[in-house]
Amino acid sequence: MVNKGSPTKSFRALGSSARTSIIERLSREGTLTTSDLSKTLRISLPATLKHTKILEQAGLIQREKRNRAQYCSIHPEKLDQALEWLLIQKIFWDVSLSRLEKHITYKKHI
Amino acid sequence: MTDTATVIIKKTFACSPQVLWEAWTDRAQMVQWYGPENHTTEIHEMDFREGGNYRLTMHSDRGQQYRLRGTFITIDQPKKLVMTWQWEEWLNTGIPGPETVVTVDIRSASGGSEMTLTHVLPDAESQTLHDQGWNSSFKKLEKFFGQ
Repeated sequence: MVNKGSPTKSFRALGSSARTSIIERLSREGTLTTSDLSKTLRISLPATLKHTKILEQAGLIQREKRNRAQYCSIHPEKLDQALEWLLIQKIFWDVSLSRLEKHITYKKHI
Repeated sequence: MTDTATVIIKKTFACSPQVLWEAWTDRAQMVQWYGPENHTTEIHEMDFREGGNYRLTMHSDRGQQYRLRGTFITIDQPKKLVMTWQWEEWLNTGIPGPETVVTVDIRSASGGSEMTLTHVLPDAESQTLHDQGWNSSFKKLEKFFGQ
């Protein structure tokens, strides 16, 4: 196991849907700027900055400033097995439950 | 590591607890929403009683299969559903996933029903993963959720 930040800190960092969405997005795209993340996830820039800072402090992502933009990418070696499990299940349920919400709305209109 | 990995999600739905309960427990409805986008869910077995088992497969539209199994532990309509949850094979790694526990609590709230989902990976299972070298790769995540 590679040295990682405090596991508690990492678990807490993934406690927010916005932050798991950031990780999910970065896992697909590789590197994104804070402003890209803000646009695709439709959260304000200050909120995006706050979330990426927490993720960085937990050791889950790295941030780098270049040409006045802030680039974020994942630190995959920092994710141990339990964190990976947590992340995948969190995304699984976030996605499923938003489908459940649509399903229930749809049922009401038929 | 002393932390137990736990996913907790609270969400309010604009329907009665009974309607929400049925969406969770009626197989015809479950297949409508269970799993990521771009997947179809096939339920092979759903013995809906305490101690009864369920088995299902999520088929991705790219032909991948993800099999899931579990046992119903508590059925208290329409308030509480507890079941075990195990990927028969963790995201095509050839290794079974850990045995975990999902609890769904439903209560009526203003505007409909409030649901709290709690999904727990026990410490012992977390250690098993570690010992098996159950390894992290974002490629798996991408395949499962990705376009």
